[in-house]
Amino acid sequence: MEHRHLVLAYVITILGQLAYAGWVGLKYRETRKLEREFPPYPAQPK
Amino acid sequence: MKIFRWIWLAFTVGLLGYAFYQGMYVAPTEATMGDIQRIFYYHFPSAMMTFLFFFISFIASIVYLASRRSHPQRALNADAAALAAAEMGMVFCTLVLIQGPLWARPVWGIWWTWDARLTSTLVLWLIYASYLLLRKFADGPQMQTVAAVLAVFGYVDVPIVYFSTRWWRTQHPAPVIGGDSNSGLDPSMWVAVLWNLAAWLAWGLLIAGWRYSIERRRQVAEQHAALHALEASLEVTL
Repeated sequence: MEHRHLVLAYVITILGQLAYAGWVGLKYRETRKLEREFPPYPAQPK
Repeated sequence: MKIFRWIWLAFTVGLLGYAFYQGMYVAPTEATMGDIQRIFYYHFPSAMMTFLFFFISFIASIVYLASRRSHPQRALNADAAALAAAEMGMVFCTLVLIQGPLWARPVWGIWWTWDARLTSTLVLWLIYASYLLLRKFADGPQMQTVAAVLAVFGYVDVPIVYFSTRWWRTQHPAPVIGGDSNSGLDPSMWVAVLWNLAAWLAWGLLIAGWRYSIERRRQVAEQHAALHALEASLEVTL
């Protein structure tokens, strides 16, 4: 049981961190889409 | 900036690999618990990163509250930092709450007990879960202010978690690092602890930094969206 728990804890740690990094990646794609949809508003000519 | 992030990623992956090797193969086997004690090499750094990232969120929330009227741009930066750090802290805190029971079951014979350390850590998790839920589902100009206030008050639980094993008798062991004269870690174990701390710190800063930059870009894009919407409404009016 000891080794199983040790390995399981490490696998969950790595998978948990990778899952969050993947979710951040999805947020990145979502933000890129928003940026393409709404490009910088043109400044007023002086 | 992008190349710097890729270099940091490569460095972090190397560091995590070496830290794993140190914790699993180089550090000596603990005398009473055996190999299961090696969970310590990522349980302890995860707990320290929880404290660190919630502290960053706490400071950023104070900066947001202090500057939201006088320096709006600084406040937006601080708000993005508070969110990114709270999310990263939440990931580490969740992992601590999973690793702990997996270590406790073979050593204590139970998965969970309602002692001060475990309960206060669960309360900490619930506080920051409510912070993130508030940020996701609440809307309107006051949302960021309310979230910042919650992050500041919520942080009060962090010292309670840290000192819980000193203040109360707990099932959770007394502090091994920074504890009394009878506590301590074998010097041969310190190397693995430090490598794992450095590796998870590098990982946490990498991902939280990335999340921060995305949140800043999202804030700017939403400002542009608001300007486009204003322009469209003016065209309709004219």
